[in-house]
Amino acid sequence: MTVAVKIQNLDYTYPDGTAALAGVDLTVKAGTTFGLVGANGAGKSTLLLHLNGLLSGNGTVEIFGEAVTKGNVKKIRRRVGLVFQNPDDMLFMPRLEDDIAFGPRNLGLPDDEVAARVRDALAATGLEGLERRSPHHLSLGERRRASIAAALALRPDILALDEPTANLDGRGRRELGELLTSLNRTKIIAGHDLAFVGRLCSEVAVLAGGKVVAVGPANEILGDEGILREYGLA
Amino acid sequence: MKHGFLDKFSDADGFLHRRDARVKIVAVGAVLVGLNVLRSPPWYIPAAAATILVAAVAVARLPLFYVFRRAAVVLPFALVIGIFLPFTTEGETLLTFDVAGYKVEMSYAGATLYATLVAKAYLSLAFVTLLLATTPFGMLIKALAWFRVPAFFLALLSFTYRYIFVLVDECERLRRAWAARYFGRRRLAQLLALGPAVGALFVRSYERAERIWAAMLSRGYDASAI
Repeated sequence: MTVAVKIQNLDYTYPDGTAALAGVDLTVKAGTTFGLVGANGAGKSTLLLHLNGLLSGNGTVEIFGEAVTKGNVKKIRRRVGLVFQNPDDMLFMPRLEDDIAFGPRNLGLPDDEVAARVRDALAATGLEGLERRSPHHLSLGERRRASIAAALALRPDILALDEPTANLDGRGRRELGELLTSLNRTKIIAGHDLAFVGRLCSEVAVLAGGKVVAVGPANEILGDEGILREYGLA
Repeated sequence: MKHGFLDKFSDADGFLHRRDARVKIVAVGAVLVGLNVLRSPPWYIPAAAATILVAAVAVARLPLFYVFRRAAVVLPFALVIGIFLPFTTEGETLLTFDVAGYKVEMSYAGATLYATLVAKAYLSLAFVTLLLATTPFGMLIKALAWFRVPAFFLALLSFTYRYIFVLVDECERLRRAWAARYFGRRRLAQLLALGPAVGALFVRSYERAERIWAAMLSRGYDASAI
């Protein structure tokens, strides 16, 4: 079984002195959908930012066996697609298609390849026909899918999403679940929408106080009322 | 929140909407130069510009008076900036006022200069408004890129355009939160609360900028490209 993400003894303290991660150990197997749950401030977002080298703490982060260093972040960022919690942070172009093309263009791909990737990403996320819209004319559900399309256009091996269901209504949530299920790659879903994580993920880790305090099959962890209560999830 | 000021009608389908953005930029640029190159143009130059404007608006399929109303925002500024021109310009006396015992003369040339200044400002903004209202912003950026406007400047323009809406939303949320707890008393204290609100807006914008930057890096953005 190939290992997609291997994190060992990762510490990270923000410049203002807040210790966000304190000795995280985590292994995500390739091809699985992995849930990262934890209360607000548990360190989920900070951990995700380490997956593609946006932050670098003490300890090691390996993506498909390759340690993330300053020298290889470009290569790593091509393999790990990060979807931020707020789509407005990811969609900054006047038109949707330019936003989706942003990553491929940064890779220096030729125009026809960029266009093909934009088409594929729009089709995969069900956003065909909206490519010429400007992001502020899209609904939140559409913007969320658009930010996933923007990450997908890099054709990453791993897709990591930060609170993907935040503020979504029932339909948005269901459509997002269907979309993520249809994407065949390693997925990491961070958040505290336990029903959503439980439906999509095979394995779940609980993060609390910057540490992984429990890890195991999703039904076992999410069915354990004691764990959920102790770590602020229920 | 939904809003569409600035380019509310740019996706419509009218005669001007279908023209190439590059042609429109050149045309508007030419009109602006023609209109503003002389300090005191003869009356027929602003008159010609106004005629072109009315004709263009007529075929643009925009709501009646939209362009004229939007361009009016410049009037208070133009009217105030030029207010002393009629009194400080030498020339044949048009009117004489008696202000607190002083005789103030208004010259014919000065009044004309003032009127053309206001007309130039109003017409210039009207043409730019028309351009924005008939051209989607993305097309405008592409056209400017074709004219070799530096990428850095275009990036700045795109970001401004994109986030002005987010910023307005942010302001509106702050304003509502304030209004929800404001009961019409202690006006001075309320004004003092404006400082922290502006501060909060700045901090939020700053933090957002950092998140956007992180999102850009995540998608392989190379800062040295600009």
